[in-house]
Amino acid sequence: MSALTPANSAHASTRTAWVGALRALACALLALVALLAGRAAYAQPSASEATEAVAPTDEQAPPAAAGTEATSGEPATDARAEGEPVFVLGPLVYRAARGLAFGDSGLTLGGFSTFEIERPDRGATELALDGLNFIALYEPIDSLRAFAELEIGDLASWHTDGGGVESSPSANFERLYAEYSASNALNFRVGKFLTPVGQWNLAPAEPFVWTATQPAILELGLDEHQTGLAVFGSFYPAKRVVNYWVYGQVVDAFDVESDETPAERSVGARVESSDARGVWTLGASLLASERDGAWSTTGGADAKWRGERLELSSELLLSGGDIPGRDFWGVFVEAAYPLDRLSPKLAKLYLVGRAEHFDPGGARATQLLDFGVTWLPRVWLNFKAGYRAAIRDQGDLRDGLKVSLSVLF
Amino acid sequence: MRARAVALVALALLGAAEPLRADELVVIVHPSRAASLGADEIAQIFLRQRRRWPGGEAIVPVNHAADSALRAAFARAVLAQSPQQLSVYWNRQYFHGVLPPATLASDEAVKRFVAGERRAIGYIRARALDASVRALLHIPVSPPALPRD
Repeated sequence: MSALTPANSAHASTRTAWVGALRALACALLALVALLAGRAAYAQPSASEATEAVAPTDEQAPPAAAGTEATSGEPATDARAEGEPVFVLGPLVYRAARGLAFGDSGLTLGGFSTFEIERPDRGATELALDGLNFIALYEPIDSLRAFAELEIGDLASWHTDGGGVESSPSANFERLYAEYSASNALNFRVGKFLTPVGQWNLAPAEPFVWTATQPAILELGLDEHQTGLAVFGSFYPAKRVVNYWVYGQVVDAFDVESDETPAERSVGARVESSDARGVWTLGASLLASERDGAWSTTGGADAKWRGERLELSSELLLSGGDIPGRDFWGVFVEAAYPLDRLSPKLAKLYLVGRAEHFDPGGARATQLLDFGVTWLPRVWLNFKAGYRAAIRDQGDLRDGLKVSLSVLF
Repeated sequence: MRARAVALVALALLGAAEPLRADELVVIVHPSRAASLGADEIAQIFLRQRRRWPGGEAIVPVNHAADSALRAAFARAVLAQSPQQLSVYWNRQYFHGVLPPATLASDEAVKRFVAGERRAIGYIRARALDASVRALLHIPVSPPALPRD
């Protein structure tokens, strides 16, 4: 470990103050959201009550929707939107899992949090409040938007082998960028964003994926973020949607987490094609990265198919080059199937599973089988329980049970 | 006599057409909007995958309330997704800061909004259509027929 120089000390002090301020802000936001959600629970009918209600009439519509105010600008939000609890206080409109909108300002605040229990077959069980993520979206005009995701990580964990509750909160911007949209086909992004490789890494957080665990090829083999520039957009040939990204890390990585060693520079591209309703999505990605003068190249292909009920997805990643630890290849296939046809009581319960081969290069390859259930009782609530069977335990890739509960707010 | 026959034929045609119109959705835009869109493009718009009109203006789609039978029929016929699939889809979009279309409570509210907002697109029952908006696409809806407002 390097000695703490005055510059480092000043930097650490500044960082401590910065983290403290962010924590205070996070606590204040959490308290506000909890207050709003709590009041909403008293103020609004439940989803089932809303579903049983008669179809809305003009008399039931909010004034802005049925009256003259609805003739210009953005439509007012229906107080029963999405059938979930809603809180309206003047210009503030809170919708569960859709955030708190500040009137016509274009500002929306929201987020998500996950509580996890991990019980490996060999070793201590861990209970953890894994993270509290705040999302801020600001769209002052049609063509400009700013987006931030601030993660307060490592909030609290407890191991059954003793030691009490551990807490070492850290604040990191998972994403922080601004966008300018010139057209459907041409958009510009600058800042820190998720690396557009494959489909999983585009939304890698717990509440937005099917399984409690994440594929090893993405967890261990890929820089999750890029700091720099991206040009992206969509074309619509022959009733399809073709999305593209061209991006590069042209500055040093921003707000790097302590356990990451990201590339210094990189350049990449991704193209994906899907039909109008997203039944089929096919993608290909390429990423070249440089660290300490050494280069590695990662290539990938991915596919997703969504039937009337079954959803299947698969990703393949291959990486090679001179950067240490960047020689690997892996592939996984994942499935999710709803069980509501078996019984109405199983509505919104899914069987999920993933089979993966991961060859980390230099070490022995392993095969992972993840299977379990995911329950989505409400749009803002997400429960997962899964078991991972590893042919060969390697570090975190080990047999065990994992349960998670996520809340979107 | 001839005029009376024409009127009778017209009435008969109207009568025959009424059950079909009652089971149709109409996608509507502002009267000045000249764009021609098919069901695929409309699906892309309501999934927020297509965000701008050909001229570059932002598209403002408006939906019906989540518990509306009309919305369920639209999702089935145009988006080809179940409410649960759409819920999963919109949660993933929320992660990217993309929010679903705003909702209004009735055909009349959607029609008034679209009539007054050039960038808007919405859908209503065919029987609620009038000259204040332009019909972009008629979409037959399979049984069960749409309930009245």
